[in-house]
Amino acid sequence: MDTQILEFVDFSRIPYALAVIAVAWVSNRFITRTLDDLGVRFTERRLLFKQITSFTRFVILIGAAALVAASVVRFSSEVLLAIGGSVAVAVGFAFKDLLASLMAGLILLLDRPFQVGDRVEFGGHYGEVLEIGLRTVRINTLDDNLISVPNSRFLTDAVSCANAGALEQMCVFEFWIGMDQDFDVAKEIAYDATASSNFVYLKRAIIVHLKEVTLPHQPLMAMKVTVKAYVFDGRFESAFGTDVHERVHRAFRAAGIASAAA
Amino acid sequence: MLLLWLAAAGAAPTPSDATRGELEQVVLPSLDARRASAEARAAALSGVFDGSRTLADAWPLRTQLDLFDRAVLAGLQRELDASARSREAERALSPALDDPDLLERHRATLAATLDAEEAAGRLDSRLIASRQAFLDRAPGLATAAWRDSLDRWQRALDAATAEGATEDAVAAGDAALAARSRLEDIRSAAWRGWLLADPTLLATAVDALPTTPDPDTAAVVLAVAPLLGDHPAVTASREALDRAAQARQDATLEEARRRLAGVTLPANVQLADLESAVERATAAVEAAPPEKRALAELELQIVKKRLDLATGKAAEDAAAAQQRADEARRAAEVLKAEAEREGQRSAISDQLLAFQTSVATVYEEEAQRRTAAEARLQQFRDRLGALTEAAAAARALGMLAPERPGRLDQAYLDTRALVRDLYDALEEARHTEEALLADARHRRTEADSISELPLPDDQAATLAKSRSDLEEAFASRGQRARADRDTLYAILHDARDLRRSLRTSASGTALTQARRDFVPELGRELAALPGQARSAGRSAAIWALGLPALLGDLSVLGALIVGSAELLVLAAIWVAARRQVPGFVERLAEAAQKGATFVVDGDIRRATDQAGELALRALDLAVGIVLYTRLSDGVVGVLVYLWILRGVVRAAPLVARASLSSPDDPHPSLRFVTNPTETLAVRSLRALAWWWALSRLAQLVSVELLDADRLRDLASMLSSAAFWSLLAVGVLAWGPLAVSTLARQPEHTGVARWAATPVGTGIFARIVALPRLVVALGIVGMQMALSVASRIVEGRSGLGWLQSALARTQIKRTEASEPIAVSTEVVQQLDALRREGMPRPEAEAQIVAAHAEWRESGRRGLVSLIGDRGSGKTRIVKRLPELLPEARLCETAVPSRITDPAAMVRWLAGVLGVEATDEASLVKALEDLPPTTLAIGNVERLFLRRVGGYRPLRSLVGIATATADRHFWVLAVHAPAWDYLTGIAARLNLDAFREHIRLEAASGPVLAAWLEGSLLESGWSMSYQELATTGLLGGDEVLAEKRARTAFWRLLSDAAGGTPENAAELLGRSLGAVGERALSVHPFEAPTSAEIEGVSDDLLFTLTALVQHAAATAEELAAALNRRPEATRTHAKNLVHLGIAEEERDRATYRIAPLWEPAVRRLLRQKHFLYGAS
Repeated sequence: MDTQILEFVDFSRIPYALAVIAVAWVSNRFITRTLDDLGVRFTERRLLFKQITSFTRFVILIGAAALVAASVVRFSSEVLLAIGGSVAVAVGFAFKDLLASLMAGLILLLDRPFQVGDRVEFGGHYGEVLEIGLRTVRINTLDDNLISVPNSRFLTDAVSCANAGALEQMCVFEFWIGMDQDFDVAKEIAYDATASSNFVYLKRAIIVHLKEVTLPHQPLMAMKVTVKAYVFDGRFESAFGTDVHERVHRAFRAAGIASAAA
Repeated sequence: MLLLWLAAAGAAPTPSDATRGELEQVVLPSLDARRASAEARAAALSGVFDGSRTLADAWPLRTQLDLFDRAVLAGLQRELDASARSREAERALSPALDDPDLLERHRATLAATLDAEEAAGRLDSRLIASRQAFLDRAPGLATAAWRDSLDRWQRALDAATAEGATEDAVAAGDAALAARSRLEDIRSAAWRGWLLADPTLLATAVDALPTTPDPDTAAVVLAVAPLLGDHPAVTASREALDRAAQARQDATLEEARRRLAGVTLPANVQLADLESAVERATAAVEAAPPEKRALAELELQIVKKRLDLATGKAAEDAAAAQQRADEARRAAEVLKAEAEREGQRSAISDQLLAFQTSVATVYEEEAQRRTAAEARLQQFRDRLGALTEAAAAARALGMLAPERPGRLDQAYLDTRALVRDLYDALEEARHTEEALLADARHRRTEADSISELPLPDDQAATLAKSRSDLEEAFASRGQRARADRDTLYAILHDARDLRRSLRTSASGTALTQARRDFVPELGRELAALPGQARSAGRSAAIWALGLPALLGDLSVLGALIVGSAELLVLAAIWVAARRQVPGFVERLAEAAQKGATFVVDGDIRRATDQAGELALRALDLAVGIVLYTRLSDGVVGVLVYLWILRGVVRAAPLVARASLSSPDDPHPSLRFVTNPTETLAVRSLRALAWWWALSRLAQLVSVELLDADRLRDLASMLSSAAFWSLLAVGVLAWGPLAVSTLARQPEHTGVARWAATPVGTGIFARIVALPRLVVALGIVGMQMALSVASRIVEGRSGLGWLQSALARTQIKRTEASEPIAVSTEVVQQLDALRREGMPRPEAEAQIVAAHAEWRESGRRGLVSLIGDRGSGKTRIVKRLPELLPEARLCETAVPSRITDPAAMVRWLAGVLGVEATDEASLVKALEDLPPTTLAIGNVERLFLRRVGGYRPLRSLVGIATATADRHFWVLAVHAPAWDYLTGIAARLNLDAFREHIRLEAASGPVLAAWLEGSLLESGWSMSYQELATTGLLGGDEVLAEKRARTAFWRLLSDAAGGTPENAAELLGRSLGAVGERALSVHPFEAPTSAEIEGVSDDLLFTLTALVQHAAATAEELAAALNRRPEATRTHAKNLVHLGIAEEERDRATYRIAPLWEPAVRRLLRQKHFLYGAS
């Protein structure tokens, strides 16, 4: 049997296959590094370069694998028919999940429910998509944990994307003030704090909402001040929130506006 | 009993009771019997057709009828038709019954019975039709042809059976009976043989006849001669009839001789006369032809008899004897004439029979030819179908399948072979048609010769019928032959289509093979064209004839109406658009002349005329193209295509005339050229257009109309040759122009110098100089392309990086030596320029215009003046007294950052000299002031990026807005600050401004005009030689210096950020002294964003804040950045140490170093920290 299997391998083509693998690896590294550098230099195109990197990596890996298989393995149609049946089923079952993830990865790249660089929420995890790989999507959460999710999961479950390929993304900040507080001043403070933040993206409007709410777990009514604004680069999302909250609370204190739970 | 009787009597029988009983007991059984009878008859008739039953079985009641009599057959057919009609009527009848079951039974039985009778009736009709066809085939067997013989035989039979009949009469009766029997036997055998398609039956019956037939038997055999063919009995019968006719003739003559022997002549006849007469009669006998010899001998006997009587002194009555002799002679002549006629009649019958046989032969041959033709056509169709499937199967294979190319090639070569075979078949069909026409002529001649014979009436009628059948056969034959050829052309068309489609997939080897047969195939295509055209004409005629019927179809009519409606709408749009074109073109021309800088000035009316005509042609073309998309098929499509070609040919020269202007034709255009150049351009475009149109026309005609691929290939080759010829002619025509253009340019590279050598005027001189002309055209073309590209790039701000990149390649970046420092005068002059600032006439004009509009309207007197540091805002504000001499002016600038609205009010009130403590009071105070133009600089110091930091600015804008009807406000703002503030424009009510006047970045040429112009005006000269680069092939130094100068100012503008102040600074750093009032320009060093790419995000945020605020203290930065002041100060110091920022110690403010600002802003934009217009 082993001898028979060796008949289907063209050993004279192995050096060629190794060369293909080497070229693919070098190309992958080179392209990834070049695009990353470009992404650093042209920040507004950073996400685009990351997307190109993912797609290019996919193409290079699949193309190299196909070339290697086509050059090294020689199956005639009769052999394929002969071994196709049960072996194909067995291989198929063994690699079912891998193949499903591979196809799902291609679909993710083409269908683009999210892209590399986007902020997504999936399965209770929120973070930046670092990579869409052959098998998994790697997400870097805000507390710097790296989560790998099989590609096939994204085809069946809902995923929420915050910025859909753009550098800027919306952030929402909520403040609760007492019902008896000056909400006009509170709104003005909230707006000014957001507009004066280092991280705000002013090409998108800043929206401040006011709403009467009941605080959770407390029998207390409050005015909820909601601010919706865009951060100019998603990687500063947390810093944006911190900056706005600091400015707001500092200004609330100076203006004598008490929070709801005070 | 009485009661029972009464009860029975009361129940009177109803009509339905009687009908039900009749139906069940009479009608239904009779229907069943009829059905059985019809089925039996049908079975018997079917048996007749397959030979298992006789006609007597099928038609027991009709055997007594003469079924060889056409009239009887016609009568039988009429009976059958009548029966069919009565059956139809019977089907419609339905008894009046209220019993549904019985009704259903009656209906079913009736239907079955009528169906069975219908089937039997069809078989009857079929049998009658077969018999009639049989009689058509062998008309000699019909009863009409035997009427005389039948009567004769009947008389003989009657005489034989009469009382006292003699032995001779009985013998004659026997002979008649035998003849009649033979006739019936032969007829019966012939009929069965015909019905069962078995010729041996007739042949067997004929073989049973005597080998030396009597005339009656011979006549029977000749009657079936068309069915027998070359049977020996036919020849024997013909000879027997000839012998019988001869015997009758001989008998007649014998009778005449015998009568003559009893004739006596008078004695008083002169002997001498009689002897002479005998001599003459003897001579006549010797000279007489064989058929007349007997008569001549009779004459001789008569004369001899007379002589004998005369010498014998017979005493007879001469007159009576003469009369008897004359009577005998006349009788003999009559008998002879009868014999001759009998002979002629026999010969004519033979000829007529032969003619009828030939008519039948025509039918038979035509049937055979049809079968062969159909088989051949089907063969071609099958081959074409197989090839189409093979091609489809080959195409369906994967692109990487190894067998795909081979199969496609094979399909292509097989299709080519099929086309060749079709050509052969067409040629053969043409020959066949000609042969058929020749045959028809020959047979007509034969018929004409027979019709000239003295035919009796029945034979004349037979001949006429045969001629009519023959003409019908010829017409049908000719029609079918033409139809065969049309079908071949149709198959050829499909084969050519397949070949055409396979050609695109064929490999080079197959195409090379095909090219070898190009000439023969072209010849065959051309030879097939006339026939193809005729076939197409016939198809068109058939279509045209069928058009009325087609239009009767509502769906077709509906589609025609809808299509016509679309065409009508298109036509209406076209007519309306043509009317609007002149006005539209005029407006466009005026706008182009005003707006487009690349349009040469000229007489607008002439441009409008030419452009208008061009626009009309373009409109016609567009309509033609739209029409072609709807009507691309058939003759109409060809006509529309011709319309399009015509439009292109007529529009092409107009393009040249509209784009170019010349001294003889001055009008706004893209370029002004000399008269010869314009003429040459028009001719060139016209020639190109004609070439293109004729190429397309040749393709259209050869493929769409003539379906001739080789002709198309030939047309393509000719078109290609024509193109190259045109190109050569174009080079010869345009080359000298390019040479003279190069010659006029100051200095050239070596190649350019060679190409610029003058060319002789003769055609041969030009041909010899062709390479030079080509090179000259190439160089001039490249120069023009570079010029156009440069203009495009210059005109598009988004391509600024490309301009800079190009500029960097055009100057030398390294220097041979350090430049010599310039004199103090130059330094002072540059300083003065920097202080004065660059004039901004556009911005000043905008302010003046806004002021004028405010004075006129009395509303919204609020404008912003936005610009970078050093862009000239302050200069403009300081020039306001000059710009607005009649205005009451108040000019000030915000001294330092104000973060409190009340402080702002107090400051402004102090400037204006009014008392005010808040906004409202200041507004009121302002309203009491006379109308004033208030110019405030450094407005960016009225905001700080923090909570509440926008109030002072908002307050100022509010005050200005409230008093803008009375006063005219000019607020000068730092551009990056303004870009930031527009993000919160609604908060600051920036929409209240009438106008935002932006001082754009000054371009290289503008800065050059200001700085260089100023130095040149002061008597300095500037040289850019130190920057000039030269090419590998040598160079034009002047041109290189020009390029270097342009590139230098471009780069200077980039490095300075378009700011005049920075530009002056950089220029100062790049000048060197080279002599008395001579300056040289050297490369300058300016900060680049690459040098600070690696700074941290904290420093980037700090830089962003500094850019937005123009200048800020550490505390202000801390508030803006939401950091601790210590950290902010550290970052700011860092920036100072890096040289990026400057510190104003007296005010403890930090700002970005002017020369660093452009690089810093580029970096911040790259990093997305800045994203506005700054």
